[in-house]
Amino acid sequence: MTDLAKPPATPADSARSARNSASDAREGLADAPQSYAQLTWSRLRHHRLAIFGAIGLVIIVVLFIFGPWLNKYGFDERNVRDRRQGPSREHPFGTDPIGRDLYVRILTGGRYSIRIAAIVAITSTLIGTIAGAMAGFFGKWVDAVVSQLINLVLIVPALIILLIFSRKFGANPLGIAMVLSALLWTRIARVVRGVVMQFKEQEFVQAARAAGASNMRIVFRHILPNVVGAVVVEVTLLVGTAIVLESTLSFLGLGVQPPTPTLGNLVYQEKGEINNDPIRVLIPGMFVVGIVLFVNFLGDGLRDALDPKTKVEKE
Amino acid sequence: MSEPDAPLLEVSNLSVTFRTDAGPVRAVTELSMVVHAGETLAIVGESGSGKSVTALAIMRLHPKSATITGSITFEGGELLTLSDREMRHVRGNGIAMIFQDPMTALNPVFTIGDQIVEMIRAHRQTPKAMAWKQAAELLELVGVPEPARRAKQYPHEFSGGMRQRAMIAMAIANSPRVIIADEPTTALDVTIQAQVMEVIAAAQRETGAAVILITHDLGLVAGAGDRVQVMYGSRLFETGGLDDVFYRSANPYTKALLSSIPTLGSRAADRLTPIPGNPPSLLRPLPGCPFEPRCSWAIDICGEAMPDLRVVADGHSSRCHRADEVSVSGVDPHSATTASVPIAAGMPAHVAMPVSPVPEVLG
Amino acid sequence: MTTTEPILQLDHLVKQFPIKAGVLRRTVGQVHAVSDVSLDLFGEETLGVVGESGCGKTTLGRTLLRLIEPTSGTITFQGRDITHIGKAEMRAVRRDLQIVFQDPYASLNPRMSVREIVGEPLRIQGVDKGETRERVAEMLQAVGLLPEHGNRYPHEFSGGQRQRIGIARAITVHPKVLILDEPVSALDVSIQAQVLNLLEDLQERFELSMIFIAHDLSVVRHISDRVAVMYLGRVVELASRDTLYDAPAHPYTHSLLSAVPVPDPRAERTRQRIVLQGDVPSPASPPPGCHFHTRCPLATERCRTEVPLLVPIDGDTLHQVACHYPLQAGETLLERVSQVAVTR
Repeated sequence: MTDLAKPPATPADSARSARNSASDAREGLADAPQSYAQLTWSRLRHHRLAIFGAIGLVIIVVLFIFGPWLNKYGFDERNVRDRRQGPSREHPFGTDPIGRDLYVRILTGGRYSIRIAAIVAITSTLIGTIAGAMAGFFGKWVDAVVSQLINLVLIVPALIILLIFSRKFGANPLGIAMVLSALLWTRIARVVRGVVMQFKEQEFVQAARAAGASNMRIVFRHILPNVVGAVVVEVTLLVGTAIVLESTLSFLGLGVQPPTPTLGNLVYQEKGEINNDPIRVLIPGMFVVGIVLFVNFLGDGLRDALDPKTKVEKE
Repeated sequence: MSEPDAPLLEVSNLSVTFRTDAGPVRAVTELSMVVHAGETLAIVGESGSGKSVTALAIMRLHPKSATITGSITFEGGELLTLSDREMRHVRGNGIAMIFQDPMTALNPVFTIGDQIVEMIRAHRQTPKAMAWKQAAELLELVGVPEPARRAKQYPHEFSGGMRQRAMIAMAIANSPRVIIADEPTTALDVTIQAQVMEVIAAAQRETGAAVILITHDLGLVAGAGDRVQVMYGSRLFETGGLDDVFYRSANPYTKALLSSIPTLGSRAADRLTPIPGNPPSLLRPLPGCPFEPRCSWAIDICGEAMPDLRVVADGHSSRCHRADEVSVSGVDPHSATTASVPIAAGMPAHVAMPVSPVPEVLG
Repeated sequence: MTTTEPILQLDHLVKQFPIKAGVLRRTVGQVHAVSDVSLDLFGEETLGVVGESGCGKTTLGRTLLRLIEPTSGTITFQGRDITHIGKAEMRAVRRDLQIVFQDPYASLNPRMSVREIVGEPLRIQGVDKGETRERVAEMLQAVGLLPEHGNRYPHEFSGGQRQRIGIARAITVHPKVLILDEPVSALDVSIQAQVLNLLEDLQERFELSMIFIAHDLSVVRHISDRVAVMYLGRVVELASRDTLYDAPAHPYTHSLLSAVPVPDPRAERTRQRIVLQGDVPSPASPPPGCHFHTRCPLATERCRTEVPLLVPIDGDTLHQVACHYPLQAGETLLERVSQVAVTR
């Protein structure tokens, strides 16, 4: 009676059930195990804009690092004889009012700008992640304190703070980097706080708690790995902002003082020449624009790659 | 214009393909179906079967990147070739839709009344004051208490069941000929579900519209439909009247489904007979029948060739190579339709269902 | 099958959530999620807890595990009061008291491999890596997956498979009691049966006691030995499975059963349904007296003022009802309603 609806078993059945278990195993599973990180990486590799941005950045950085060696002049070497010259074979970008080779200066300036941006990125990330994670995870008064701190920093216009502090601390690259970090950590903190608050309520965190996991374990093992993605995106964008801010400061005459070149203070120096010889202003300016653009492309690509898209078959 | 027996809505060979990162995915494959005036057609399937995609295709609500082939005719006119403007004239007017989640389907920044009025005035030249009056009447029809006052409230001030009623009111505002209800009660509690199904029935009585009910709940189908269509793996697997499909199914998937769902009549002593395996991948469809890996009736040909939809009885078709054998195999003793329904559910006494192996002859 | 002492005992459990409003975040009200619930769970039985949204069943499940701290009341586990014990002691208890969650897509950490996920409870309990690996392989097989699946990541699995992983994680420490919070609600119909059968097998194999929380009455009927029906934070009826479904006493239980559609066209055509009017009240402002009186066709003045207690009906301690006018066995709500209409 119970076999009512079923046809008699045949050899085809057992062959098929063997196929079934094999296909079961294969069913939801791709050819090889792919961790979330690997999946993100493969998505990133196919994102055209991100690749373009990455390549652009690599070219620029390589140029900054190795470029100056191709030219025999030091960045502070003055050849008064050759001052205010246009581009030539000796001086590919020309020389500045006191005879320094602009090619070397611009590329060296790029090095300093990148260095500053890197320090800002690392420091902001450290401070921002810790503050944001604590605020998001512990909530209540911790969150209140951190949030108000963030608001405080955000309310005051960035430029004013920078002006005040750079006079005091910031004539050198490290000083500027510190000042910028003190300003920009808030962006990281806000993102981290949001993500932590979101993940704190997820069921897999509840499951860990139900298994007896300590707070430390939950934060480091469960929440932070999921925060990494959002932070990475924010950091790439932060780098762009840092460079622009540094350049702005230098353009205003503050920031890193000569003879140390940065892209920003080179523009400042040459701004008088903008009518006669615009190329001296354009070149460092273009580098700034280029870096910011490429970094943004990369950031966009990362954001898209990290976004878990639902496949149609899962509906 | 159309003869009395001509179908109101006719879908022929509809296929819908989406572009995804992983490749093209065909969510609906060569689907053909008809809906007559005033009837209730239920489309049943699990996730990935293609039922919701079909509904959205009828309303042409898919993004332009989706490839839709085949034909959908409504009242004699082809829908797939209409321009956007012409299609807008049909939506909410000739064919209306009720969505699953009323919270996201209603605009939170406009009042309920505003939204019903917008629906009315999108298709008619009704002056605002009159449209508001009509909106209140519609809300009364769907059972919203104090309709005039509540029409001025916002969606978040309504409960889930009330919001769904508001959506039904919007759907029938222009007396559509077809109402598509896409999982209208899935997000609701069971006692509210019963209320909302009654409202849909009342709306249907009031407008004489045909209803296409899309759901995964076979119980809902049994209480609401005239005809039912079962979909699996983007294809139509079985279609027929309620009694045909529930008691005389000619399709192994339908039978397996009926055997696997717990019902109020289930007892722990009866083990459920689950369907082994997993739902099919639409990304890498198999050459033969999509249900073959999980089917207890499968034979060699099932893995090689796609079965046709073959007629088993008048108005009853099934897609299966062994449809004829399956249809006479009788009701599975474990299936939902053989369980006894408890007293509290409203039956006057236990009604024992026949469990004989002889195919039933019913009047 | 059941021993005399309950393995888990809830006494007058209450959970309220404060509603805060205004600039100063003052407490302006309370959400009464769980109001005075007392339940016992015996060894190797399955207690079904059923109800609609707002009834408090999910909160109850989390509270008895102390994932949420109760407002008042006691939780006694294996004879020991665990309501207020410290975190370290609770960790030891958690070896015997585990939970399976509803959403297969949110209950697994997307960054961890399946092996890490299933093995984590063991690692937290201090089990070494080697033994963890073995136990994980054993558990994966027990739930119908292959040990190789341990290398893979959650996003590669379907909903039903993920739920199996969640179950494996919960039983890997060999708990005595398993709380299941809507474990099959998010799954396709054809997969639900697989997982239900799996749970029954596991219960037998590992001698588990289960609390099965769900809104689907058919599923609960299938798997439970006893059933508790909740409405707005209170238990309104508690009975053995057959009694509850064949001879319920509470009008709400009758309405609930009547509202469930049966996949049987003939039955659907002929049966008479009771359709409750009105919405479920908000747990932030539950009605006075019996919470159900606003929708109950039998409600009287007494129901509006006096809270009915959960008491045995007809002297049968296994069947308890919280109602001033419980129905008798074999009586339908419709019959009683027409009776009442006549006498009024």
